[in-house]
Amino acid sequence: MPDTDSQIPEITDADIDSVCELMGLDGFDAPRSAFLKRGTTVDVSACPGSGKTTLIVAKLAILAGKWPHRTRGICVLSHTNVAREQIEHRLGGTMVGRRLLSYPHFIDTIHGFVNRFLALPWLYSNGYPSPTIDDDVATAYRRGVLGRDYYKVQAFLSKKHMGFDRLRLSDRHMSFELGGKPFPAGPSAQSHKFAKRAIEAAATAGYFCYDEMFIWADALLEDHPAVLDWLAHRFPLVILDEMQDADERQASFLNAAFPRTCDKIVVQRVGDPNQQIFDLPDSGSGAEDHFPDTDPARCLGIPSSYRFGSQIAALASPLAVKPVGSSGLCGIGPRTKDVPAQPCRHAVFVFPDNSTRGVLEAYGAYALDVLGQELAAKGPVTAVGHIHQAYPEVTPGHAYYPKTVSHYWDGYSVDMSRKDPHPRTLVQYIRAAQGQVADLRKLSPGVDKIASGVLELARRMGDIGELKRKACTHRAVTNALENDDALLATYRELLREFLVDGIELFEAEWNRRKDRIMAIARALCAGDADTTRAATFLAWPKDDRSLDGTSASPRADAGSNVFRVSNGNGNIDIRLGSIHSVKGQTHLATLLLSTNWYRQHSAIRVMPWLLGREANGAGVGKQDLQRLLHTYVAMTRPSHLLCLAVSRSALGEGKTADETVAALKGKGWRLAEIIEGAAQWRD
Amino acid sequence: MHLSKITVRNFRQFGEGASELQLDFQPGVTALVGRNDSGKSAVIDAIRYALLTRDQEFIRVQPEDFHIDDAGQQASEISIACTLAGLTDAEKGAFIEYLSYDGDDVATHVNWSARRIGEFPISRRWIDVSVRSGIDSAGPAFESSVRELLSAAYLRPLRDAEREMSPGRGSRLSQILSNVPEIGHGEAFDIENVPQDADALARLSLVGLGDYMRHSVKEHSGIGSAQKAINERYLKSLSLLGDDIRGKIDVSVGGAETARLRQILERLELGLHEAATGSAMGRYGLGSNNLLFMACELLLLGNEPEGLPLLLIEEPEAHLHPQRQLRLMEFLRQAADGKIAGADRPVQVVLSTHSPNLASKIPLANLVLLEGRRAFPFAKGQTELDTGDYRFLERFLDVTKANLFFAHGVLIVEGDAEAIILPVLAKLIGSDLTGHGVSIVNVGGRGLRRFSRIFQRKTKDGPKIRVRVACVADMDVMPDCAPEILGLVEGDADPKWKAGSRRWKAVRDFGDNEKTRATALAGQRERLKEHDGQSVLTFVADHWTLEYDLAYCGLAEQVYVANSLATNDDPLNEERKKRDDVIADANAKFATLKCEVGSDDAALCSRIYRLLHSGGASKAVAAQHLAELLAEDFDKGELDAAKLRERLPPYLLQAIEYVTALPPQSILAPASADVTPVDGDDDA
Repeated sequence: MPDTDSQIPEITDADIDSVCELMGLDGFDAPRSAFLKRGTTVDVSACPGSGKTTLIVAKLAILAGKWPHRTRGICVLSHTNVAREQIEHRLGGTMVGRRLLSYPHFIDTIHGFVNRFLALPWLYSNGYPSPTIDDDVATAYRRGVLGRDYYKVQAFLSKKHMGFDRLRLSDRHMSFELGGKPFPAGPSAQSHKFAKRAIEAAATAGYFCYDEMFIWADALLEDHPAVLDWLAHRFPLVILDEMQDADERQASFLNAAFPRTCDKIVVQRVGDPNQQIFDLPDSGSGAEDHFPDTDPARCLGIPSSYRFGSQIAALASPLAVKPVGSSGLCGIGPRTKDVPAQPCRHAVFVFPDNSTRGVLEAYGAYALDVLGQELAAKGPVTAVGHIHQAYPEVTPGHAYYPKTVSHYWDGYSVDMSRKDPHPRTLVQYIRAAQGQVADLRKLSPGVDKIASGVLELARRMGDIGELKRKACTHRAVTNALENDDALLATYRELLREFLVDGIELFEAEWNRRKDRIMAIARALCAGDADTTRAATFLAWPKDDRSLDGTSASPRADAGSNVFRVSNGNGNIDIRLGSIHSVKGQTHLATLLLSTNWYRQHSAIRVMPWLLGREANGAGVGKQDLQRLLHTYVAMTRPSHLLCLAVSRSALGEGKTADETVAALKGKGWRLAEIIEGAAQWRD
Repeated sequence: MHLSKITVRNFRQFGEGASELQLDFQPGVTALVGRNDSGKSAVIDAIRYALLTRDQEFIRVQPEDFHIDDAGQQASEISIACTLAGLTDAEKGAFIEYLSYDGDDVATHVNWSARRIGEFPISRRWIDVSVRSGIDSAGPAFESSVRELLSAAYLRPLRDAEREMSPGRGSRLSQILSNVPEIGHGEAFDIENVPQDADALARLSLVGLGDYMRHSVKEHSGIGSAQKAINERYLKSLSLLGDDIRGKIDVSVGGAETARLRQILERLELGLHEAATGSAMGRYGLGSNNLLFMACELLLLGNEPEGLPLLLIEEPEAHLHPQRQLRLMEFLRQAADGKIAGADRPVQVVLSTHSPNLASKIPLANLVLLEGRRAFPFAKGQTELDTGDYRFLERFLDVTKANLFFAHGVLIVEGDAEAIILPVLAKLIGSDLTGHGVSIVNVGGRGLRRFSRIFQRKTKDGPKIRVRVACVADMDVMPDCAPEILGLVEGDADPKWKAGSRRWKAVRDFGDNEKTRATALAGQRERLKEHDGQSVLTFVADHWTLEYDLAYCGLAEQVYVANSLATNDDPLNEERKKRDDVIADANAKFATLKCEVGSDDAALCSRIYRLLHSGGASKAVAAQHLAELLAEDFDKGELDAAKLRERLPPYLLQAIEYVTALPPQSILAPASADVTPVDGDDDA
């Protein structure tokens, strides 16, 4: 690779030392240093809690300081903006941080990359000067195109258990599909004609969904295949984070955009093949073949976790689908020395097949006991399951019971667990902004978030003219309001209330402020504004119960789906959710709830691995692979306490049950049986 | 990558719609030519506003930058769009998020716009400037580091090169040097391992040398004792008890290595030395410093691995004598072709000039005429000129003729006589050519069309150059009596009349009777005018040649005397004869001649013309004498403008009137002399 050698600066031990000083880190062990120093294409399998993002940020900080090019940069892509936020957070005030966040580097999401470099340039050059990209807005526009005919299409689709909102373009020639599958009616059918009309009118007006941008990216690559060469010039180093979360379309896009066989670029993919879980049970097949590379020379492993200690590591290790390191998952945490080393206290709660009563209470009481009130209050303490959609038809006594998380607590709601990345109401924009300010301890992202919410409001009310083409920023709003001192003052006052004073939003307060915000938005519209068109957006989102404000927790997202357990000494809040929703998180304590998927109880299916009779995923069927992946993700969340909830039948009958109990204890688990809603320890 | 197009709307003299400016650029050198206030500077400034300049000069939009239309209405938004084309793959990669795709054309557009949002200077922020990429600004806004890469090097008019090259904070030289790749070479200074010999010193980098000097200064005994004296003798006795302050003498040096390097570079100056002796010859003049400055900028642009290699120069001729201007132009052309040794890539040069010297040295295809708020590139395909014309003009469009690029009107004439006599005639009849900004182009033969086509645009529906161009052509048809008078034939039956090889024509060649002759002669006249069009008109002599027609139309005696003076030019110059005697003699001979021919004006004028044809008189010299004679007649009151007009051949009068039809140019031609009265507050 003669070309790349000179493109990417070499990283030395001295560089690593100085970045540790810059970022306040203790240093890196051999596998981590190997990744930092690696200057060629490689796949890195990083175990849960390996500090992968910190590692990437450290590598970027070193490279940025030594980067010799003015027009070539590093491209870092992920599914979330976590890398970018970490750089802002940890290196924001430094020269290298500022350098990394600007040209010629690019640190963003895969969608962000597709839009900026491929899809938007294609759209701009092909008669879509200012496209709007938003699932909800595009769907609303498509719906609006049809008028009353919409109800005919929706009625037809709901018979097929589908929704109009899953209508998507599927190629550049305006073909479309529904939820990734062919539209359930032929071209001559009326509903097909309606859908076609909606799709085409929205495209002409420039309204698109997020995922549809891949189509325009493909269109550009088809029209100008040389774009790939230009990209290779621009980004000699590409780091792809969270590789395991790439779905098929993203993975094939990344492979095409950054071919790892190309000797002009270095592609370093980081992820954990053992955490490759998907929201939709039927997607994601195929992508797992590609990561990590089959050539061991192009692979690195980081098998040690800062998150948990050796006990959790040992318990979770057999559930890794791909073996971790040469000697399994290692635990070198947790770093906080809050709890003195004790005999293994990780526990299995066995409940009767037809009742989950007392499971959460037992877990809560035990966690409070083990962790102590002070530590437990820091949280989070969680209970998670693979399946969390509501299944009201499955009731105690049903063969599939407990099928889902809500079968452990009927107060659980799927809707509230969802963290919406694209707010639907202005209130949600403001809550998101408040969250950002709290997380980042910095005002500017929150200010821009509110500004974008206000601009969105204006956009819904009328024509915002020139602002359409500007970035949704605070500056754009203040510039637009410049000649109206009163409104500008109002706008600033609202920002201060929401972000500096941090008032907690309730419906009453919201309604008091609505008119003032409406006045600002009206001033941002170029012509007439129709406030009725934005009524839903401006209204208090009654269906979002996370905003009810009844929770004792100060954090907005902790308010719902929290189960509180009290013992004589204190309280513990257990946050419930799906395994998918806790990807990437660190918990203080985690309870894995057995759920039922494809007619099988997860506890029963994964028991051989829990017992150490099976290890890893070689030769395992597709569904069990997903169960293993989910179990592994859940078991690698906690730093201190790992618990399982399994139904009685998972242990087997009679003698088998005794053997199972013995084997579990042999692995170091404690065991409690829930009888009549109360835990009885089997020590 | 080069600037391939600029569109300017509502900026200074350029309006919008039909009056906006659109200008295509070729790679290489482009020279903007045109009169004062034609918009050359506005074009350069528009490029500067949109692309910024490397000297990082702050661009401050002025209220008067906003165009005021003919109705007096000031525009509220300026927009300037630059298209950068011809990107290499590496450049496409570098600017990939800013690319636009138009079919197979891939380009980067820089759309600069300034919108008026308040009143200057009441509002602190009175304009809103945005710089976006994409066709019609559809693309993302440019990051500042990208704009830096796209910025142009700019040399202002009447620059003070000596100051630019002198040391000081942020000096241009330090900026240029810091971009030279080799500037960082060498070893760092290591305090543990102080260089012990000359070789070790020679290996140090610039920063290393600076650090070494700083180290040595601190070690110097004089510094040490001074510091000691300050501390022990003064500070100690001045400071309060327990309030221990100590002084330290040190070379003031910035912290980071880049800052230290910058400080060293800022102390350097570029001086001129006489090459042979190496001695500094005192201060060189502005011109020499200017050359040096341009050489530096070109060095930097040609050497940089990335960014837009665009050099903008206003009036490169400033302070340079003509030969140096020509030399500079050659050098710029070499730089544009990438032929400067050591430069890695060609540099695009856009310059504005008032110098016919420079204009004549640049191939016509690289010139752009700014006229009437429009730009007219002379690139191939844009004009009526064909390939042969371009080659012809490259040979013959010399310094004198290059005046035509700066003229309000152009008279293209066939010979010296016209070039000499026409300005005099025009002045005498009150239409001073200089005053009207009219240039005379003497093609010295038949190439009238080659030059007039410069002013004719290829596209039929596009804007046209409004500079009025008059071609003054001889009819070259002798009266029937003339061939014999000139000795070309003997008698009507001379077989030479029938010779196919003769190069002259007479009226009788055009037909047997009056009627057919008139038609044929009119046809001949039309053929001479057949390429007229746009602002080009050809004015054809009514009969034969300039001198014949002048004589024939009413100046027979003056032409005869002038021709006689020309015949005697040598004796007159050598003072063997007196001018008055020659004139008196000529007047007498003219009277005799008139008697001889009677009323046959054709014969009279043919015989007057004979002096030029076979009498040894130079047409140019005769024209000069004629000019003097006419001036004397005016002085004596024998002639005045009205009388002269009556006696001039109509085609000359029409040509002069055509090119001088626009009002005379004041030296200080204000764009608009209107003073807008301040509105009175009548309602109050």
